[in-house]
Amino acid sequence: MFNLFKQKDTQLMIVNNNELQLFVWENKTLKFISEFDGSQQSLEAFKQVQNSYKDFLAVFITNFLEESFRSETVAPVSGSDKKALLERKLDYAFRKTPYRTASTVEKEKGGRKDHRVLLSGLTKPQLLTPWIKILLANKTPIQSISSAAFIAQEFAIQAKLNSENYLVVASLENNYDLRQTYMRNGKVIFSRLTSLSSRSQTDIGREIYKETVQIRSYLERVKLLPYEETLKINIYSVYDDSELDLNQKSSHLNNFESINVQNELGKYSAILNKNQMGAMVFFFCALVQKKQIKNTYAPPQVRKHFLLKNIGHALSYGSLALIVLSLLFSMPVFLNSLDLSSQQATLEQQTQPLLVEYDVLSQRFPETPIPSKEMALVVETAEVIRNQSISPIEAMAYISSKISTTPNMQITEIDWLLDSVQADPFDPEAQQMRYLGLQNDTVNAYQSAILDQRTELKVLIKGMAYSPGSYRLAQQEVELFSDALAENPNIRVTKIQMPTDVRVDTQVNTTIDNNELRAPFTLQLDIDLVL
Amino acid sequence: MKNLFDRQDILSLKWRILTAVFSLSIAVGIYYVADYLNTDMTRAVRTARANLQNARTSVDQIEQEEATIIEYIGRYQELDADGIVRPEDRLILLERITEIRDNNDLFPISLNIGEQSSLALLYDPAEPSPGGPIRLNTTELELSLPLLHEEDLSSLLRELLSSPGLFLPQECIVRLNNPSITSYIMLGQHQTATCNLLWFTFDVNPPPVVSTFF
Repeated sequence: MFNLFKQKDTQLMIVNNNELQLFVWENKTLKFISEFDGSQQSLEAFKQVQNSYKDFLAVFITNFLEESFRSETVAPVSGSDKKALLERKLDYAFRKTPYRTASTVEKEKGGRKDHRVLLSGLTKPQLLTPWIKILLANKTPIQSISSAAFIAQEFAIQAKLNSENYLVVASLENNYDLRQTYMRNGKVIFSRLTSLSSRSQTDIGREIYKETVQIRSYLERVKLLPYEETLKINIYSVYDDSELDLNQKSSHLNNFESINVQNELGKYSAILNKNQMGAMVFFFCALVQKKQIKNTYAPPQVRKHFLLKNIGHALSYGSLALIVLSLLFSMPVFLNSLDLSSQQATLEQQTQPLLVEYDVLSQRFPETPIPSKEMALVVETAEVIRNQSISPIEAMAYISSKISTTPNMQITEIDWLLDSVQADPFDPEAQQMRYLGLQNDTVNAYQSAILDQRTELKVLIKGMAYSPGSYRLAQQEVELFSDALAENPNIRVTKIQMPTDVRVDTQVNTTIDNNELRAPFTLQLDIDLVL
Repeated sequence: MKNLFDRQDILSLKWRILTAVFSLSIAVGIYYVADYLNTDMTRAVRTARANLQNARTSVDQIEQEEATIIEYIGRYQELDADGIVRPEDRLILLERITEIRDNNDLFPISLNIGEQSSLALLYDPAEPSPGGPIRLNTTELELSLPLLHEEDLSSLLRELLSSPGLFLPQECIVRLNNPSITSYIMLGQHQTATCNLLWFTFDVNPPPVVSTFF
């Protein structure tokens, strides 16, 4: 699977006190290229070789004597204060080398909880400088400068050996350099390189044993390792344990384990001969399977081209990510637009037949002198008026028919009136009337009453009742006439004036003589309009 | 870090920086195109929906109008034939009253034709799209004549109200000229009738209302 954080094509340069071994990690395969002894010719050759691997990342792993480790305690500060403090400590401890680093190893539990830091540095930068100059001139991206000790630490973490409280990773190279790195809880505390090239190579196991016992004594002496604690010692070499005979020397103090790196390298793709297989190569192969090699010592100036390359990659991937992200964010919007487009098409499809129908209806539309709504208003208004257009003759004819029952009466005046009715503006029924607002208008009040059908019919009948001498008879004549008029249920008769006012709350003045009695009367008819 | 890279180093990244700027432009462009498309399509859908609604409304309206016209055209044409939806013609009215008087041997008729007033008709407030303005014109007619008997008034009113036009009797007073006479054998002006009528016409093309500034 593609892993952005795996090691890319790389030049691995293992530098010891005598030479630089150049390997190339390409297409997940490690192959040996050449070794360079540091002479002028070898530097030239190195420069030539670099032309072929200009774009490869450069990883240095140093394994020389001049790497120094100092363990110190510092005040428990953090952030920029701690950075400045460590920078001062490094300036003091490793003034003459740019290849230096500091890291917190542990935090003390007692006292003021000081931090224990490890200061380390490559104290002989001349061993690296010529190579680095060539790479910088060639603009080769230098990813990392690490050392055997820190590579061992990374390997220990990856191999989950950091669970061991006290661990020594001892690696024996083909030139019989024995690197012993002491780690506490997976962190480098101390490392030492011992050359066994002058020792008896037939009994190399015993020599390694002596060195490990010696380093244990040293660590106990400087109080980096508590007495009587079990120390796990892993020995990485090109030998089997049958040759080294170390595993059987394990005790409750020293727990040995021999690992043959040649066998282990068989798991990885590597084009190497036996002489080129060493512990450093094995650590490198094991680490690059899963991750990139961390930088320990290279200052930013040395890593400039690597950083530039990374910035370039960041820009490229960032550009790609921008487009992908914008596509991702825009995709729902695009999909929504598509959906809207489909909705629009559907709506237009629905509209089309309606427009056709409209055209058909328009073509067969009947000819009309005025628009339909205006026509309806005119017709309905005319009908409202016409319904109230009542001839007074009907009422007069009705009155004539009823007066025949009373021969001794004479009607002197009939006042027929289609009167407007004042509506109560707070009456909900009246509020439905369209022209209610005009009922008090000086010009159109009567018209508004007609249009709202707020009219009533009133007829005032004035007349004379005759009687030869009886007041009662005259009164009865009018009463009879009134009753006859009231026979119609749509008519209410109000006696406004009777021949003789017989109410006891009024005054009556009359002259009683021999002449015929002639008494006026007034009746009012309220006639319901049956519309 | 600040002094780590020189101008040459920055220049070495120029194509990548340009690519990044270009990509940023593309990304922004994609976003804006998507947004523009979405806005445009939203507007288009809104327009299409409005067009559909308008088409439905238009079809409904034209169907309703057709139904209304079919319902009212006959009655409207009758009104038109009676001159009710035309300006009132006072000469025709005078001619008609003269004709009625002659037909019925009536006494002289005193006729007073008042000034025409006008009222804007109102549509049903519930009507979502009312029609154009219509005005109802009203003229008051005052008829006064002596009567030989009540039938004279009956004849006058019957024939006048059945004449072309829209008339509404408002008040009618019939009064005996001499209440002391009980015998009507003698021909004469025994009664007097006074009637007020309203004469309605419709103005279906009223002039537009123009604001007047004083």
